[in-house]
Amino acid sequence: MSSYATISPQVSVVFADVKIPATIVKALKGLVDETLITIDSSGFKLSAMDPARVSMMILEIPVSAFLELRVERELSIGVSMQNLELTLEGAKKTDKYVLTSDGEFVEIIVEGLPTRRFKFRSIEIPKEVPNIDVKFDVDAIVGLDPFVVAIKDIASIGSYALFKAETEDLLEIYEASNKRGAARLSRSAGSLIDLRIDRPSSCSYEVSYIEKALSLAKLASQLQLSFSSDAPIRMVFPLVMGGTATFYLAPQVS
Amino acid sequence: MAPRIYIEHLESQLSRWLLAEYWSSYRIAGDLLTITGIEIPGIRSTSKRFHELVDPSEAIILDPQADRELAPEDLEGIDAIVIGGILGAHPPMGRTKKLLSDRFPQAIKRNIGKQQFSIDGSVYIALEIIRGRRLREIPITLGITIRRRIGSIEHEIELPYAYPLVGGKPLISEELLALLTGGGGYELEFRRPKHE
Repeated sequence: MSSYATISPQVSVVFADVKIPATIVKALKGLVDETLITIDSSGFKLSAMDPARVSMMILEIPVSAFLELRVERELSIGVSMQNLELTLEGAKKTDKYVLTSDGEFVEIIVEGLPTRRFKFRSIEIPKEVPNIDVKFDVDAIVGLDPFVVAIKDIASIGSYALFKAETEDLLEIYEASNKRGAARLSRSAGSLIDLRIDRPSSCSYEVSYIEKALSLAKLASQLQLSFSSDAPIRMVFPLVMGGTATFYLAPQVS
Repeated sequence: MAPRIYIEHLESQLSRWLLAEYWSSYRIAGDLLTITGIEIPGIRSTSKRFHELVDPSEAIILDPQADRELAPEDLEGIDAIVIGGILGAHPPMGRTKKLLSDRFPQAIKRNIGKQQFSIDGSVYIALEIIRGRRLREIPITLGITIRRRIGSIEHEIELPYAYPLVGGKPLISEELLALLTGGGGYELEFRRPKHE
């Protein structure tokens, strides 16, 4: 690590530039207030739930994705989103982003010209992540670009998106209340890469949450979608640098 | 006649940081200063390059990579002291040499130390040497840390440049400090002065 920390770090991770942390923060901003970060010798894990507890993000990045990852002992730290946002203000694309902690304090060093250093206390966040034990009846792999466009279109006309899959060559997404803004993701159009259906399913989800999570599209190559009728949706983003971001969202309550 | 001081603007853009340094330079040197390569309303400046205004063979380029230090006697018969209008890099990339010294082999090159100085700090030192002071008589500090609190967060900004000390304090403009801190309170910490 080229920049020294003022604490005695038990863990430290170095992102080669601020793009990854900035994209993660953008996806979580407005969705969650705080996040739990666990760093161990296998890598970096971030989990966060929104205050209404209808959505959850779990991000797992392996050691190989970092310029450097050092672990004296495994640590879980709680960080407020407000603090994370602040560390990225004025950061330049080429700045290195270093996160360290001794368990009590978190120190973030944005290494550039000038180098900025932020030190704050780790906050108490429950370590238990809710276990979402759902059997998904629909598993799809979709192209990110057509999916992002479909969600944006629906967000412009309504609050909920209805996902519907009845045959294995078509995934339909509508604005839930009046079925407008239909997007048909199909194998023939190339927007649907794979679709497996155990049981025909349809379910509605609040589109603003999905839209926020889609900020992660910048870091991903494709999107794996899983849902069932009256069940949460799971969005898995395989990350280009390795690892995954998984987003769960509860269904619309009818 | 005393040489004029030129800042040759060499960045592709005029950032707020650079502009703060140029204004600070103007406040230090007044109309003895000309900024070349860009027009800035309110400051004596021109879109012409310095070599269009003075004969480069009668100019001294301040370059940290120059072999010799600038001394008052170097200024005899010299029309211009030229300072690169460059935002530094850490570690230094030698851009003054690349963008100025190598392009004007006929110009004299001098350093005011091997460190990267702020632009306004370089203007201050050039002016002091025009006034007859020797480099060793001008105290400097290497690196400044700006400390402040944002709520419960301890925030530090590290500037790795060299700064002349004026009245025992590093010469850094309030405008630049406000730009870096967003206003509000702060403490300046600087390392042990050299040349004292």
